[in-house]
Amino acid sequence: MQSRRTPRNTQNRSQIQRWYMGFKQKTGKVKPTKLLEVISREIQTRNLSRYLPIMRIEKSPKGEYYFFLAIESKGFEIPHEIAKLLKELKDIYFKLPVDKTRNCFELEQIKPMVGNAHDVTDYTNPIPYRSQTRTISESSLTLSDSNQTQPLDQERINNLSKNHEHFLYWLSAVGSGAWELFRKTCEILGLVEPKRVLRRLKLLGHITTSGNGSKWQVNPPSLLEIQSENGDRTFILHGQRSIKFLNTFRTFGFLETCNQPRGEAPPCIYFRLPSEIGYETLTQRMQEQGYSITLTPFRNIPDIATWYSNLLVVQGLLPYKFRLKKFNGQDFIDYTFQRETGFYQFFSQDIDSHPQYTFFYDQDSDQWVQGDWYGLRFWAIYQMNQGNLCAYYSEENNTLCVLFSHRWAEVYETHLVMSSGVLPRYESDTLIYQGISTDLVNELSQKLNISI
Amino acid sequence: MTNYSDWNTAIVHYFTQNVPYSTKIYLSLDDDALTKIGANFAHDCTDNSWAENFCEIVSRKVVNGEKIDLDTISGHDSLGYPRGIAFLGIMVLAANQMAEDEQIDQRNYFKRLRQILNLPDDGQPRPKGLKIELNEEAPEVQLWKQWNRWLIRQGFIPTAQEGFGKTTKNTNYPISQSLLRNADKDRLRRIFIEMHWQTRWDEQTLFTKVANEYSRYAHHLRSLIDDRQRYEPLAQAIHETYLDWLECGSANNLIGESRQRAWSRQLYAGIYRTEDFLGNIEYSLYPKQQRGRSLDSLEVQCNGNSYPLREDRAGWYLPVGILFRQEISEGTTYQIKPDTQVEKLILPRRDFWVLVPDPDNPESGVYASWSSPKLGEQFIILFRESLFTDLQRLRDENLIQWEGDRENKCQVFGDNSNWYEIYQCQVLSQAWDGVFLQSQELKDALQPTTKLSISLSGGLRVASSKGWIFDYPPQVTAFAFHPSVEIEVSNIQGNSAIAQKSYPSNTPMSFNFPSVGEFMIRANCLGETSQRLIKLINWGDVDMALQNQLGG
Repeated sequence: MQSRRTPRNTQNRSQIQRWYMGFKQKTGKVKPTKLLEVISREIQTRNLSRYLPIMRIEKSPKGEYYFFLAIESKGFEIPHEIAKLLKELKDIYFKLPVDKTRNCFELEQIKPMVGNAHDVTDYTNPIPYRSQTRTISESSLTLSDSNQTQPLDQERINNLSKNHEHFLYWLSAVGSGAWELFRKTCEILGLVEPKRVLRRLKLLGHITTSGNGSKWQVNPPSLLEIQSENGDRTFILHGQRSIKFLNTFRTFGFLETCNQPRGEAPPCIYFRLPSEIGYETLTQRMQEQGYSITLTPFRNIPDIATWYSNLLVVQGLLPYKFRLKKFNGQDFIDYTFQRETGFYQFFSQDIDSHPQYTFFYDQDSDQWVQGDWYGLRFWAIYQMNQGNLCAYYSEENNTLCVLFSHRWAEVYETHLVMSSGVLPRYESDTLIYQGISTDLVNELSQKLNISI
Repeated sequence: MTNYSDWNTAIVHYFTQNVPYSTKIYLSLDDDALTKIGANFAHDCTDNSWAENFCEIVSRKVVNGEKIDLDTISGHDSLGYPRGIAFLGIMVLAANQMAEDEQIDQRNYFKRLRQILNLPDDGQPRPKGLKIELNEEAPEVQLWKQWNRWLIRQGFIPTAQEGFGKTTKNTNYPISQSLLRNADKDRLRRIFIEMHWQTRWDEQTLFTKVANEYSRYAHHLRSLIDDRQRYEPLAQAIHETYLDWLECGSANNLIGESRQRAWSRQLYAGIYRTEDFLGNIEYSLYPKQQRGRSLDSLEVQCNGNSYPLREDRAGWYLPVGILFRQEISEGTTYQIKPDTQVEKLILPRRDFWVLVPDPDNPESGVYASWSSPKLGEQFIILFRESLFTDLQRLRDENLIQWEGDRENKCQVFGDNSNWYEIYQCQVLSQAWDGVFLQSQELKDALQPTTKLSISLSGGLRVASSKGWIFDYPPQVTAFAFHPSVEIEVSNIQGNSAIAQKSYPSNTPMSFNFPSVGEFMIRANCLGETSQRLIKLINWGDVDMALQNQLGG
């Protein structure tokens, strides 16, 4: 890890002093602008700026004016090169010293006359410096546990749905970007908790992030076929979309929009394709309109050990620079790091409010890994072998219930959510996923080693 | 065979293709540019030179008897380009052929234009067809205004403007576009030869070297060097002259009209800086595109890997590879495959890099060497330790400011590195003339090039649509070294002012835009003007983009 914002002292310049030599000049002989131009050129050509960094000219010069050369040297000595310059240009520029005995001034002595160097032009109005609040980098994958579900009225849900839909249009147009851009855009659109927004969009198959969550990319539009009650084929739309795209789509079939529970993500869009139009015809016609659309790719569901082994290893992490808390199966408690396997929260030493990062430490491999927050918590519980890891499935209703405190890793939850296009509902301490087939439940329980 | 329309389109491409948005555009057409533009045509030149071909074709199009007929080139073509650009180009060509210190007045200028168009001298200052009717503006001015409007709509900054004096009011349009005249280029080549400058410097480094020879130039070139507003395009024009000279083997017998010009076989790179959430900093190679030239299917060989060069945005390819300290410290040359059109990518050796926030996504946290810092913009400087004294001097004089105290710098590339960064750096003042630095190059790079600029911030922007969502328009800040600025906000036709009064400078302001559409913001301060276009769109105008691959 490279050091960021580590001040280092520059070389010791205490022996070098800056002082000023002063001269008088007549505007009739040399105008201040000309004086400045000539001396600037000489300084640059002779490479003397290390001795003579600045020149200050009297403000609002009239018939006669003063000007001062700042000299940097030890003990008020005139460096040889500067003496040569003064001698060569004496007749025109340096003929009249301000003080004939000891032409040597401190800045304070001449300041009322000349002010700062930038005051050589009297209309100067510096642009104010905007000191920005130092932002603490936070991982987009770091969450804190939350199952607060305050009731929302329908109007609020509609507004939230609309804002999320707009956000998906924006993501679709921008294509990809950094986490900071995602976070900032959420703020502009009034979408709270951008990390959760990011997660929900991933669960719905709309976007993908890099392993460390620092970059996102919207997925190309794709269709996932689901079981339909009538003869038409019904698909769920994932990935990019825009108003123009949806309007084009609408000319081939029927679109139905369904708000997510609580409106916390873009609405699910079902597309019903009439039986007389083949899927190939649809994709070809869309292509002709400039839109490429594919079937949602079949995903291999990894088993839990494979999932863990594929997580990104964090290099160069220095735990002693942070204040740590360790997950004990239920809560995070203050902890001094002693290389014990577990799920850790990292807090900045001087800021207490939110964890900056969350990582899992593996003692056997002496490695820190990063992954989605719920996934690492699930893995920690799984490792402790203490948390009755089970879920309840209703074949009759096609619903799956998972304890909120045992929420599954993102990759598994994504399969549940994408299969219906709808986020889970919250009921007391349980998450309820709908439209889940028996096959999917069986496969997931096997991969996660969970009893259903 | 080429025709007027071919040249018109090719000139537009040459000056705007691969040029980043918000760039000042100078229609600085000269013989070298015409040779390069001609080289892009699919067939060989049928005249002695492409310049001769161009003059012949434009003359045939616009000259009717002994009169110039601008009706033949009015309006826009099927691509939406103004038809008059090739004619405006020939007007600039005439300005470029003026002698080093030739007095700029109508008679001198139109003498040159007549020569190019083979028009007889009828004793009048202006040729037939360009005469000014009572109470009307010069006939060609409409074409210049049309070109300026077109540039603004494309997101560029026009630079052609009328002069202040009576004799230069109209001729200033073409003369303002002429950067390096033929005589200036010859003078520069003499300097390159005498100084044996065969190191492949980048634009900034070369500009400083050239400016140091100031006393050897004639009036026109001196005035160009002194004009900070033209710093970037001038540095680019000098660099192109330098590359042409290098491309011809840097021989000393290329002065004069017989020289041949070709596209450079080198691409240049800047650097691209990202930082992950742990504060780890990475620099990548950021290849620049060649202006006006399309290059396809190139790959760059970097540290044993091969990276395809794919467009990131106008002017730039996507960043490639990861740069290590040695590469940045020493500068590096990378091979390009296939090497039929270009053969090398050069990362110049520099003592510092000025890195500005992504102009399309300022919130992305990405910084790169996209451009010089704009007024009021905060940037990062990556520098060798030896330059820190200069930077501290600039800060002591309230010319720049950065995050933390004056000692605050952050080491990069590990503990034994002599490279550092300073953050949230900002230029505060314009009075840099009285300050002398060891690195003149640093001063050239940081000293502001304008006294007034319009900055748009906030709002919800869709870069691909070049617009903001109507419900979330940007705030407007006029940065200036004066407490107040005159601002006018109007629709694109300029016939409906939404706001027009004096506003405090350096303060973000919100305007109530009445509808979607294009709006012009004009700021005026102490005789200097600046303008920006704001396009406001509906959600229905936002369409999907093709994605790049997700990295990292």
